[in-house]
Amino acid sequence: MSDWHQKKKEEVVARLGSDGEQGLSPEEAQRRLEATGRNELPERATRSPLEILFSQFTSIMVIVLLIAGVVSFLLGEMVDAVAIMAIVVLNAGLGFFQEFRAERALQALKQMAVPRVRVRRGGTVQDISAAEVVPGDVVLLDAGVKVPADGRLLEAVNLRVTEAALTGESEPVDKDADVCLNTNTADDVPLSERRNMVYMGTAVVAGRGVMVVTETGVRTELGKIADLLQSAKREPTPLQKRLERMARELAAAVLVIVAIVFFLGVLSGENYRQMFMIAVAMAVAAVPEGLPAVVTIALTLGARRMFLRNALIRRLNAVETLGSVTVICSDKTGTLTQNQMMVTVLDAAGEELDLQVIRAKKGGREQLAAELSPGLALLVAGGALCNDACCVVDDTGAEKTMRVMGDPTESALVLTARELSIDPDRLRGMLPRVAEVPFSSERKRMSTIHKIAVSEVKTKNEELLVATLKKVTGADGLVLWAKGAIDVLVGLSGGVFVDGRVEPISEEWRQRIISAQERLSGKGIRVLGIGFRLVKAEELAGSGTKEALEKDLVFVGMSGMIDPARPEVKDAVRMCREAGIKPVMITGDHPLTALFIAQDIGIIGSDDAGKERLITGRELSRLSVAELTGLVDRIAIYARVTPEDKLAIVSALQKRGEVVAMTGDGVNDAPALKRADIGVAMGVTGTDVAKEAADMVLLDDNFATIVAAVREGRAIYDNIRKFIRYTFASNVGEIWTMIIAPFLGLPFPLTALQILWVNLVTDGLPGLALGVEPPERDVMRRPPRRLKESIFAHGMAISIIWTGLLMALVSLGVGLWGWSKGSHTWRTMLFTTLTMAQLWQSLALRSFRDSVFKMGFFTNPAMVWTFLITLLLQLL
Amino acid sequence: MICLPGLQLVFSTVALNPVELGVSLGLSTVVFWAVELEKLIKRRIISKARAGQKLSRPR
Repeated sequence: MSDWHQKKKEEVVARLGSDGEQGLSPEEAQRRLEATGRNELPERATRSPLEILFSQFTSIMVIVLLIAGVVSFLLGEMVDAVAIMAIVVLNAGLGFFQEFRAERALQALKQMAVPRVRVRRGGTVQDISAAEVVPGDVVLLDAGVKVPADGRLLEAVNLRVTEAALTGESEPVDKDADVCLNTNTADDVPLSERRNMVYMGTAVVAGRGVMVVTETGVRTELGKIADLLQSAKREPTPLQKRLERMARELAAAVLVIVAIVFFLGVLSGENYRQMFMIAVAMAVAAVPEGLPAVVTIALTLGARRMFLRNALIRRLNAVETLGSVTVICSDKTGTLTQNQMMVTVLDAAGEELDLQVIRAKKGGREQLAAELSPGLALLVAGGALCNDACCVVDDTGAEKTMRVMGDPTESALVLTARELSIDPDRLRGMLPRVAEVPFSSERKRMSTIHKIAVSEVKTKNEELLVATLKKVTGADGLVLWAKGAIDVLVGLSGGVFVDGRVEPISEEWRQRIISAQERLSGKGIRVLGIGFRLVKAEELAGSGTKEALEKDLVFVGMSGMIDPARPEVKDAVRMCREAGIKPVMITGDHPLTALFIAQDIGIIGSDDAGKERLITGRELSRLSVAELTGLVDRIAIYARVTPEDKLAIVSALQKRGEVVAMTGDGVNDAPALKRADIGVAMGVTGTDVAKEAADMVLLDDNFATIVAAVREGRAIYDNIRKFIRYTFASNVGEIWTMIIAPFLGLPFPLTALQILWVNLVTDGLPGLALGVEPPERDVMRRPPRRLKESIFAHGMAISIIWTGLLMALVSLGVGLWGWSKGSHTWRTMLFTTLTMAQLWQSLALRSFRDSVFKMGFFTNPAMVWTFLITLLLQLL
Repeated sequence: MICLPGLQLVFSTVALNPVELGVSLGLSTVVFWAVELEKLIKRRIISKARAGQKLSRPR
């Protein structure tokens, strides 16, 4: 049925058997899920186990081997034929097992990336996976959400949707829930003009709305064209492309060499049957067939390891590119900081308490809970009382924790009271609120009026508070607490609370208070003042406005607060520095706040001429593209910028040749995330649109996670290089052995099956063990790898050639020694030496720099097992 | 591979006497030592380069 847009919304809801207010009942939703299936489009990109198994038999190496097996069979060499088949099966089995595991890991990652949607079910709003949405579900939409299915709008407030995925039109479309597109004409209204419908795969860019789901899964408009969309093949990463090309070229070269060896052998009178087998074996030995597969596996399993560290990889490319990142541009709030305000400084009449310093000290908690001065007690109590945040005690966990709901600033004040052992709940019991004058941005203050009804007190500080209050108020009456901007409060104050008593406020005091506030603000700290006043009951009952009571205040002091840096970020920033990666802060906040946090976490040095490295959005908008490009590598902080500026920043950095990681969470961050080499979306606060544009999603929104992912990315690339060096050196060793032998006067030293065995050992277990080697010690102490750097860079090609040559010479030397003694065991000795030399080589190649003796022989269990199993197989 | 008769047949191997086995296994480690030596030299060069840098750039 696709005439939903022609019906009234009430009619649509009724026909779907749903309810706009209540939604479906959970039972009904479950029943429908079973009936209609999950809300998913068939994924062409994933491969079935059968396909994976089949692909194992399509590689050139396996085909060559199969031909060799058939030829051996026809020649009557039954042992060879069976052995070759066994090797083919073993090889395919190993390959299948690895790729199957990688595929499953990839699927699991995909599952994690399925967006969540908010639906009304059984009268409550729930968060469910988009795959579980069923027809009739009532879904809430707001900016940044990806529409999970097709639906008829029930409500739309300024709702704008981009339907590019469906119609190709990039301009957002305005939606309207109340229109009814009744068509009496023969032509139906085209999809792009159905303003009362929204469709799967489109995204909300602004406004909010409610829809009732009409179709899910393949029955959606997107599902109908999904076949077209899905036909795109899985894109290999740049490294995979390069390696595949290299493997092909190498195969061609090897075939030529092998052909030459074959004819030379036949000409010199060798048995042509034997020579054929040897030629096949050599070809198989020399071609690094397993290479592209090993790279895929390493990248996929790497992506899984990153997921365990809270970095969800959306494109496999990212694993590779991460190791090359040179600049990380990060949002400040929530990524570098905790996205939670925290009181750091209390200042009561010149008596300053730096909470951060005390918190950092050992035993600081106890010290904070210890006795306060009367002024500080009033300051803290006032902050917690003149406050609309509410506390929720969360005792579901093992430890009783308190969560505070409400404005972040107010929450911080409540938490501080608790920290200084003045219980906010008891405080509200002691001083119940009777009236209030709410906050407004024009007034820059709020006030609450409380009755003094002191009941029980528990802590010393509460006792002190009560004593102070009694002293000031005379035990009963009402007290008004005012909280607001310092200049406003000072203007309203007639007194100041000093040394436990009220004094008239002098001009000198006003100056002192203002300058204290300026000093704190200069450090990027947000400052709120607290004042109080005694109110008589008649005054409150009187006819004047309550606002008129905000006069003749006694100024108590001020609380300074910041959104503090996440504790782990400091180390992460230092790690970036050592790794040659430049961390850059991007924020919409005030420059001073940005500067303070940047200094705190080390994005700029504290002695640095910080202001020169900061640029504001306004300055940015005045710069031309060329000017920004010239300036961009000096700037470490962008303050007061909009998400739209991010695109300009990324582009300028990329023009300088930087490889940029950029974080973002909103709809308007998406273009910058797409443009960046690594777009990083926030998993918690991020919108679907941002996540979809990103290469990587941070499940914990934490900057340190980006750095951890970079480290993992570098380690994965290292391991791929180790494997390549290992397998190439081994192959080169085998070829040298075969080529040099005749010059030493030896007959062909290895049989075909021996070569196949050596090759299985090289491309097999040790290679895989190298793939799971933990990161090297210096992985974050070297500069980033250049994106275009050859995989053989840093002299690896030379190393491969000499190691291979040495391997061949040693093996031939051992063989020659046996041969010269006239012993019939010389071939077996040579064979054993060559196999074992490769095994030993894999052990030494576990690190490019550190000695294995330093690393410890047992630090990679996979390698230990590989070594033992291969040794056993060789000697058995 | 070199002891079991079945595998001997397939891979055309023969049993080695202890001396032969010892020589084979012992010399097979040569590559290991060589790669370790390569790493040692690399480490030396790098630490020298770092020391040189420190001298030439006072700060």
